[in-house]
Formats: sequence, structure tokens, C-alpha cells
Amino acid sequence: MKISDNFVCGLVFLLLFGFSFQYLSLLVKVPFSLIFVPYRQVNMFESKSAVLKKNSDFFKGQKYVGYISDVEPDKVFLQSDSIFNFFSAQYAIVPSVLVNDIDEKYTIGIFYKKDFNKKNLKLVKKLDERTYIFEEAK
Amino acid sequence: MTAFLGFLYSIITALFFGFLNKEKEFRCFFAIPLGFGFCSILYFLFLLTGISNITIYKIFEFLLVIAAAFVIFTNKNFHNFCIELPKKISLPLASANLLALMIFLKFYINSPLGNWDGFRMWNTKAEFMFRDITLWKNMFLQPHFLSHNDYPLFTPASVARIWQYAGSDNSVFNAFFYLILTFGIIYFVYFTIKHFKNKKLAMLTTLILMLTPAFLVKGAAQCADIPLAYFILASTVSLFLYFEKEKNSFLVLSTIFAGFCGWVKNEGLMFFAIFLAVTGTYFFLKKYYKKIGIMLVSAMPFVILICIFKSVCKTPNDLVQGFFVLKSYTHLFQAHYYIMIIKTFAHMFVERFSVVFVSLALMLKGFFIPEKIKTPLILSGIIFILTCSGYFMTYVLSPHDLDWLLTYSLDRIILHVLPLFLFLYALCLKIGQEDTEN
Repeated sequence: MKISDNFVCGLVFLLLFGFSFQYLSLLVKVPFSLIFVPYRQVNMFESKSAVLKKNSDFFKGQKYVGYISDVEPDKVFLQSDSIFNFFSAQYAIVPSVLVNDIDEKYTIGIFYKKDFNKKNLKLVKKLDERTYIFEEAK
Repeated sequence: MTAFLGFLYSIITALFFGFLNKEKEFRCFFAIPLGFGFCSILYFLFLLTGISNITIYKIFEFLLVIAAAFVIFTNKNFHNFCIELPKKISLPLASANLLALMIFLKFYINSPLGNWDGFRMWNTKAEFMFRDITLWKNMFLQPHFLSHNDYPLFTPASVARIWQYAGSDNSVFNAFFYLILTFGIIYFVYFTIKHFKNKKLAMLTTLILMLTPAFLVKGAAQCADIPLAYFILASTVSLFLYFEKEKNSFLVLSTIFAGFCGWVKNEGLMFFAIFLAVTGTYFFLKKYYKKIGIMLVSAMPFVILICIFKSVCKTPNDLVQGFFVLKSYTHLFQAHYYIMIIKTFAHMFVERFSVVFVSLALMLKGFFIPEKIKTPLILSGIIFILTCSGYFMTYVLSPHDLDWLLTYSLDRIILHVLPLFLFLYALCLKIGQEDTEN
């Protein structure tokens, strides 16, 4: 039996339609979101870094900025949430480089617990409920 | 508005440089990677000079555009300065294109700054190259194991350059850059298969790639994987054109695209080396020593560029370091590494690339390889197999936790070679040939 090109084309279209059926609703959802949803403001990377980015002048001239959080320093790069917080802060303070210690002039603190341990750092500014800027205690 | 115009100018400038290639039919789709690649190198070299005034760069690039325009309009080979776009796009292709665009935009809405890798590795570096161009080298002080400081700078430099013209690091601009690359590669596949085989097969293959969500999602993820796939495909297509037209300019173009692969990612360096080794060996066996010389001369600027970059970043490659320091070569004798890679590949392919199985239906009509494409097809097939083997061995020899590495990178690795695979596969098929029943 000879198979025609049209048969193969029809079969491919049918299979692709089957695979893509679940995405058809996007034809309505995506334009709606683009127009009516403030998607950039609610994005986790943007929202997290935006608060620090607004205050990035604070770190001007600082090659390194410290980092402190609820997570133990040796586990900062072992937990995905912690890595995310670290790099969101890094993104915001470019060209300064964020380092996982508290020995720099300024230190960014990201805390989820209210009774956090700020060690011997002096609070300079509270940016939001979780984000703080500390200064090295003299 | 000014930002948008600046952004448009950056795109047009990049494409203009890419238009310097002669092949009318593919000019537009060669122009995208060539132009952006060339501009990213220019931007990187400018940052290396340490000049703090970005206006100087913009004036320099403008002067180069004038020079490029002079070359184009005074060269008789470029008298037909136009591109060929489909006069009438078929309904299935147009519908699929719309759906693919929605899938791309959906992921963009979810992650305007790119996915985890796109944000952490590529866009953060772009920020360093954009915000204070005198301190851009600070990017190499980030924790290496998460930022991969030794990865070349095609995407960060391209994105930062676009932001410079736009005057803002608004995520819309970088997303649009990746949109151009993602859909550029899709239509590049269409035009190349149409050129070497026929329109029907081109449409079917393009539809499969266009409706592979993993491909579109990784495009919107703003990682370097889609650009790398584009350069790999462009290099291969240029190689086919070289054998078809027997013009050295295509051999030069093919080598340049392979060189650009090394400028996109470390994995691309492997492709670059394999490309040079395979085509070099072929020409050596055929005793075409002049061709080897042409290739080496074309490859040299990229070798120098990559050496300059590696000396600037001063960061060791984790694979090389793992091999010698952590003695990861011992993995070679441990079977469970091989089994885990094969199992994860099979699982991931079924889970994330199931649409590609539709391409099996194209085999129903059988295979037909025209005589004129046999040589480049064999060479490209060898390059493809060696590249895949290289990726496999990279996993085996990696000093990182293999399970974690496979979970977070294997799908991206598959994407590097997926367009190339579909292109080579389509060239072997019989559908749409004049001697078949239509």
C-alpha cells in the first residue's frame, strides 16, 4: 500500500493538534495578562530585587557588600530559597559584589523570622518586612 | 519612547552587520546570529579598553555601520539588497506561530527576567556590563560554582548593549532579543529545509519544532542555550551551502558560526573544536590543504577572542579542575554514571520532548537522500554524533552531583542539538519529493 504525502501531513497535523490542545486557552489568557495583570511587579525576581535596587545608591563605591540571613552562612548556597534571596540581592546591587560574610562596611540582611540574630551589626535602614541594610559596628 | 527607539536601533544595527553575507535566501536568518554575535564582541572589546564614556562606543558602531553600508552598496554582488520572506504563510504555520508566540509569552509573563539560570547566570552578568562599565569585571568575583564565571559573554554582552541603546534595563528589551532568536531559528529551519528538500517537509518539520513547548520555554528563559542552538545550526547550514555552491565564503561563514558557538558557552567550545577537527580531517584526506588554511584563518580571531576572555575572567573551568584535582576520571569506570545519564535522558525526552515523537510519522514515506547533499550530511552527522558523545562524557566526568546536574541541565543540552537533529533528519526524508505520491 502506498502512503500519500497528504496522509502523512494530515497525521502530523492531527498529532500536533492533540499535543497542543492544552495550550489553546493561552490565546485568551496571555493577551489578558499582558494588558491587565501587573506581571512584572508580582514576579518574584523583580519584586525581590526592586526594593534593594531602589536603594542601590547606598552601596555606591563599595566593591563588596556583606550578606546575612536566617540561614547559617555555610548553608546559604545549599538551599534553593536562600540561593534565590542571595542572587536577587546581588542583581540589585550591581556593580557591587555580594559576599557571604558580615565583614564589609554594609551588609544586606534578609530575614523571614522576626527574632533574627543580627549579630553585632548596626541597623541602618529597614527596606521592608524582610530586607534590611546593616552597617559594621564600630 | 526614546528607550524603544534606542532598542530598535540596536536591533537594526546588529542585523545590518549580519546582512554583509551574500546568500539572499538565508540572509535574514544568517543576519540575526551574525549581527548580534559581531556586536557582542565589539561591545566586549570596548569594555576591555576601560573607556567610561558609552557614547564613544555608539559613535564607533555608527561609523562601522556607515562602512558596512558602503561595502554593501558598492559591491556588485550585493546589488540585490533584499531578503526573501514567504509571500503567503500557510494557515497551519500561521496558527502554530500564534500559539507558539503565546507559549513563549506565557513563560515571559511568569519570569520576565528569565528563569533561574537566565536570571542568575546571564542577566546578572548583563547588569554588570550595563550599569557601570568601568566596574564590569566585578562580575568575575561572584561565587563561581553558581555564576559560572568562565562562561563566555555573547548573551550578557548582547543584552547589555541593547540596554545601553535603550537607556534602561527593562526586561521587555532582553525578552524581545530572545524572542528574535527563538523564532529566528524556527524560520531558519523552515527556509533551509525548503531550500535543500521541499516546502511540504519544511512546513511539517518547522511545525514540530514550533510546537515543542520545551524549546519555546527555554527561549523565554533567557539562557544561552537557544543562541547556541542557532549558531550550531547556522554553522551546519553554511557547510551544506559550501558543498552546494563550492564557494569558500560559505566555508568561512561556517567556521565563523562555529567560532561564535565558543563565544556563547563552554559547550559551544566543544562544538567549535569538533567542527574544526571533522571538517579539517575531511579536507586533509581529500588533500585540500588550502581549505584547511581558510578554516584556520577564519577560526583564529575566535581562538584569540576566547583566550582574551579566559585571561580576563581568570576562573578555572570546573570540569577541567574536577578532572585533575577531584580526579573525576575515576567516573569513567563506574557503570552507574552511564546508566543514570541514559535513564534520565530517556525519561526527560519522553516527558519534555514528547512532541518530537511526532516526527516519527514523517518516516512513513521512507527515506531519500539526494546525491548532492551526501557529503555534508555525513560530515554534519559525524559532528552531531561527536557533539552528543562529548556532552555524554561531560556528564560522566563532571565533578558535580550527577543527579542534580542532569535534572537541571539535560533538557537544555538536548535543545542545543534539537534544531540540528530535525534539520539533518528532514534532509533524509522522502516526503514531498516529485517521485512520490502526493
